[in-house]
Amino acid sequence: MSIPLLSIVVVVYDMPHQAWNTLQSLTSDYQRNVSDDQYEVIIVENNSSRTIPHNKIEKLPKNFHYILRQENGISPAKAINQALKACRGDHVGLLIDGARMLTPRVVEYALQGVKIRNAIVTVPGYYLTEYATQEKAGEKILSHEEKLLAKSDWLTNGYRLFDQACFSNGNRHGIFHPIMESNALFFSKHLLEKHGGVDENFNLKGGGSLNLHLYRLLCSNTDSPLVVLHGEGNLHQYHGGTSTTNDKARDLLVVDFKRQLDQYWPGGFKSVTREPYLLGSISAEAIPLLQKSLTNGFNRFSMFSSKQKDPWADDTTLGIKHGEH
Amino acid sequence: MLSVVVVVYDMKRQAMNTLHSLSTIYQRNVGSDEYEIIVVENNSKHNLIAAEVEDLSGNFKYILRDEKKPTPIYAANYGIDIADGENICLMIDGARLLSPRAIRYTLDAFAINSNAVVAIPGYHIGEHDHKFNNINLHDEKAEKNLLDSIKWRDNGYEIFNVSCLSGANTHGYLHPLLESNCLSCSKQLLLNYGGVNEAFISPGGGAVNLDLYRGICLSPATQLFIVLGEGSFHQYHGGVTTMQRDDLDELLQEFQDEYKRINGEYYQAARKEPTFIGSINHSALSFLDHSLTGAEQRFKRFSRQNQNPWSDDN
Repeated sequence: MSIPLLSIVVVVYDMPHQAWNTLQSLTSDYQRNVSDDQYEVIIVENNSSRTIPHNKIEKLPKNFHYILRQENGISPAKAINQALKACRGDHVGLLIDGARMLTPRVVEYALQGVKIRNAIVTVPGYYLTEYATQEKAGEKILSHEEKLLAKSDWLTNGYRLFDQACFSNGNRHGIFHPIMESNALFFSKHLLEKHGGVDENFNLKGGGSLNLHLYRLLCSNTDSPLVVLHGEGNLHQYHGGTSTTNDKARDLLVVDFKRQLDQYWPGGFKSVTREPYLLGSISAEAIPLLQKSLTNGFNRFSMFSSKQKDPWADDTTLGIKHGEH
Repeated sequence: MLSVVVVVYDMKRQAMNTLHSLSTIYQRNVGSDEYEIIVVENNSKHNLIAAEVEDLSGNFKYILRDEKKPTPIYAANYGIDIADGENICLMIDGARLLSPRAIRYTLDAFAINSNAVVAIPGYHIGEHDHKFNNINLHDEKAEKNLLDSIKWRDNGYEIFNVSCLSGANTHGYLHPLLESNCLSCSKQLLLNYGGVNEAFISPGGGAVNLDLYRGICLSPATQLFIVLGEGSFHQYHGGVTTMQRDDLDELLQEFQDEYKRINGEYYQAARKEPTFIGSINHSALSFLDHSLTGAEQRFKRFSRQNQNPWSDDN
């Protein structure tokens, strides 16, 4: 069997239904214009009372590999590092939250994007519905999203996942603003290996701010472009996750997360400012979200222009020299 | 390596601007070893000065040739023939200025796919297409003043602020483009197509550039890239179809008829889904907005008819 260019790691914990949707969205039956020999998917699941059923795992294509592991902690960091060791590709895709479904050409354009001067490739993140940002009762959100997915026939046309989507917290103003984190991030394996894998000191619930830290770290330490697949998306399904559940407990946890993160970044953490390098086609369904990004982008650029500042100049004390590629 | 072939005839001021926009001083994030520029000039009373071309920063070659026919086709094919690069970027009209990362992103597209066809969208400097220059009071002097006022040599993206979409893509780049005046593909693909089609004998080449764009785009296994944040900007120079003239409609009809004589049917823009590539400077954002708005209507129309907007009828 040939070695694929890309190894995609999906971390799963206690979300069998959502993870199954995510895995289906990664198959070459769903992903367009790619074949199984171009990529592999490493599923690493931390054991819980609700793991993905074995009979479903058996149905996955041959380029999918499943690892079930015991995790004594409450962070996905160790699971990621274990999965990284199993990756055969020179490039890695990381879906740190197994509840993120993908649109149909993410794999095709990720495979292309990493060929652009060893680029980092990110897929904009969205919530599947605005309902998830407003409704407090988790069961109602679950039921709403389940009905929505059943009705959308998304397996036939995955761009329908955009129909009720809205910006997620990590990307709340769209693609022409600095993005705080990525939940579908593709990069050279070597780039992460230089840092010894992901930092296992991020041991708070759900990894705390591990994903924000990782995004900033990787994007700050390369002169390669930051490719944004502007016409694609990773869509979060509600699953009662640590930082995507709307309650007071989450708000308290986030304070701890931020405290830990700020220790790593002198002066406090902030989103990395890099000019997005766009790649990919644009479906009819993606247009409304892109238009929202544009509206927000116009406002941002006008503000910077009035101050005669470069909208993509990053804080040089934090690493990167310039934002344009 | 990429060989940029620029065809020039009787347009000294405009061509020198174009060549500056191809120099390594102006083009960003690219080295002189990554591309060469072959300037093929058909002799006129206003030729470029060879020493001035060769003094530009970058890998420039200048060829002055005699051409008895009023066409850029033989000059273009000559430039392609002598090109060292495995990939060719053809600028058949030397009056087209480029924005600062057109070369970088073209090279990136070839890094992705050796069968890339790369198109830079076309614009006209000024408020209107240059074929309306009398109405617009746009002439060489007005254009020179306009370009001087924006200091484009320091920041080429400023040109977007004083330009409009060209007639070849008035609805934006989510509609099929009619042509590209900065079109790249592998030399082999170009040669397989037969180069720039010498069967076109109309002045200025007639519809030859449209023929080339369609032919190359629809070649098997190609991937069409559109560099959405970059532009090729037409400078006014009294070109055959880019100046106001009373007989323009008749002339364009003759070009269409010639296309039909050669290809058996009237020209249609190639419907091929583009892969967009590159960053987009804020000066170019309004054109993305325009393109998205146009596409929304177009996609709805095709959806109502249950048709694929990117399926070519032919």
